[in-house]
Amino acid sequence: MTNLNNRRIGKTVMENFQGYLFILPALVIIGVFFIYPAIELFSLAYTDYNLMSGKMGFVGFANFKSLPDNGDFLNSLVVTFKLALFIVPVQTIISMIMAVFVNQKLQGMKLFRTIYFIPAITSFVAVAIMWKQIYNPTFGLANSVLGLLNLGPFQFLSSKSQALIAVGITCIWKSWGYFMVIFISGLQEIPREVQEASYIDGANNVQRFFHITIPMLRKVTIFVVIITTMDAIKLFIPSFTMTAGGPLGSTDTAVHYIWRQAFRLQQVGPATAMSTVLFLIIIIITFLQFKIDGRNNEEGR
Amino acid sequence: MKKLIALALSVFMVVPLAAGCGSSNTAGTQSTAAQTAAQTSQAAASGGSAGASAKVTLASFPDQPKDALLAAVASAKLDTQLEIIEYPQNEYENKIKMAFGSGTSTDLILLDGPNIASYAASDVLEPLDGYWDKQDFDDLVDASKAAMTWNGKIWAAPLNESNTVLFYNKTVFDELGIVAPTKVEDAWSFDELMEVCKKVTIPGKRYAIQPQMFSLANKNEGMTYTQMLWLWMSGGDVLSPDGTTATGYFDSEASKKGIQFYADLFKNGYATTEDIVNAFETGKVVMWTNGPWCIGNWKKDFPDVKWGATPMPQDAKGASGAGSWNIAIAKASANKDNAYKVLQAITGKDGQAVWCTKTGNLPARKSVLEADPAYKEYPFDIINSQLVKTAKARPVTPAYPQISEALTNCFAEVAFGEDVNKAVEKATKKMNEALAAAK
Repeated sequence: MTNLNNRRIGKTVMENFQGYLFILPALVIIGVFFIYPAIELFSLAYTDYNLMSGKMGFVGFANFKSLPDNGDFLNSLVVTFKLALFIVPVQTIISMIMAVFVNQKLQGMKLFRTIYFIPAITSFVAVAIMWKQIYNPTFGLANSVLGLLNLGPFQFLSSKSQALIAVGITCIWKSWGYFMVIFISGLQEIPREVQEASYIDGANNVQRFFHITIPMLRKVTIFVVIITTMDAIKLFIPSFTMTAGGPLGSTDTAVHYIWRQAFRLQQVGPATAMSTVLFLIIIIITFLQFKIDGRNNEEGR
Repeated sequence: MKKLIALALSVFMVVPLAAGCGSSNTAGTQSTAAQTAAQTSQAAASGGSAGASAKVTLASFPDQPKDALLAAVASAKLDTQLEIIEYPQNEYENKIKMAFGSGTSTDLILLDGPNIASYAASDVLEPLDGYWDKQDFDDLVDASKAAMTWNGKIWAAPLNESNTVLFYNKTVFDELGIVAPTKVEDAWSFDELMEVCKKVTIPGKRYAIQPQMFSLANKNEGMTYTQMLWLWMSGGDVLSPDGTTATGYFDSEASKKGIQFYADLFKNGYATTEDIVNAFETGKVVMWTNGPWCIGNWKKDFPDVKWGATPMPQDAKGASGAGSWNIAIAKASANKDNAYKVLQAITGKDGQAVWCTKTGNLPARKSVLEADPAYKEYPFDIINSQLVKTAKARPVTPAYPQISEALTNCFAEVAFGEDVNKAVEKATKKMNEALAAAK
């Protein structure tokens, strides 16, 4: 009996060891490139670290105390949330509707799916540079197309009021194809019987979309919304490539502002303090979204 | 999920404590490392005096022609070899900071003028006072001398200088019969410039002036470099002479007058916040504050553009841009004497003449400006006399990067219609905060 127990314990240890061995590469990568830098980041926020001389002294909460008075940082948070509030709903709705369209069994749908997916696998820098050209007020494509409709000319990126929307449109154009594919996989998991039953009951396309497709896609939608929100809060490349945060900070996202403080202005301490705040904000938002998801699940039952 | 948050929070709480203890440890290790480095450098120095072959390294980037640097060194016939290590231009500052931070810096480093003080304050540069002959230093134009000096010491030697003029579209000026001054003494006042702006503007079609290097959609040192001129011209300044405060300088009435003039150019429709490609070359903007490097570009890419140059306007004072790239010696260099010889070979009288002829840059030395007849021809005669008479160095302070950011943000705000008093007050506060933190 004891012998058998020992053998069993030996077996579980062995199995566990094998398990750990399998996740080791991932663990090392996460440890080196995520956990270690994160710990460094949190600790630098309490110092006046000098990037060049490597000197640092402990300054307590001084870097955090100045944040509420820092109008530019608060502005960058507002810009980030405005951008997220624009991107998340618009992008989710577009990718869901387009998923329903290209999921039809018609000729050529595969081709469209591929075309719509291309921006998602293109480098964001390339996409941003292309859109910068499109938005060029003098010779850009956007103004010539809008000109045909007797609209404009618009200033787009050099206008305080239009720049953020223009950047948001670029982000949506870049990413909606990816989330469309996720919605398609969600659509294909909707049981055929439900669809057929609705046919027999005489539901039309619109009714089926609102009463079958949307409820059945709820899990996928929540996943998409969470990922899109996190992506939107972390946006950096479009501000860096298209506008340098301007004009007048109207497209200065939080990550772009923090990067400038650290690597252009040498303010590593304050910048890491801002990163810590942003990290907490993202944690809280994600937590709330999971909470809402959990409650919905219970209600659903 | 709960576990994850708990973990994140506990990390967040514990880490500051660890950092508090950790920082003293780190400092301890660093000082030992520094001692070791000092010993090594001594050993290397004594080895050097024993006659080992000398090689000096220089950090640079592709825009500074390698062959011109080597030609300048060759003119001095040194027995020291120069090895140039190039980093990509956009990453240059980051790379040299990393090199300083990790103790792997080159002997010589190219530095942009306004950043010298922040490197000197980080204690990574060797002061040149012990090497550089005072009389030879006095050969530099005043703006260069000011830019090289911080905290009472000389930290670098200029490769060359720079300057700004007001370029204009000659076709438009000729059509309207406007004659631009060609002597610094006759430069336009603010009122005269405003009159000219009014004459050449065609609402909706043609703007009079781009009063900064790029359109307002850009954010870089070139913007600050040209925007700062406007408050200098009205007799204002950015910081106090000892570089400790912006109060009473950036927010003085004289400074505000220049900033208000800049704002009025936009308000009156003479300048635009729009981003127009090749605005000057295509005739959409008639005047442009920029440096002589434009001339080479126009010759190459826009040979049909008929341009002229006039001195920067003067309201209370004459002012024109100054400052360019310079060479400094790393404090950690094991080869400082040879490094200085190479530095002197490139930036000395002969080396600078070679460098400037080969690259088309402006000399920072009066003797070189004097000697070459090319600097007496239009428009270089204007630039030459501005360099000696009105060129002004940007403030020399370790907090310069933040000062520059606050200043260019302030100018952008007033161009977009923000109230001058409000924008200036905000920028002054930012500058003072940065100066206090840099102490």
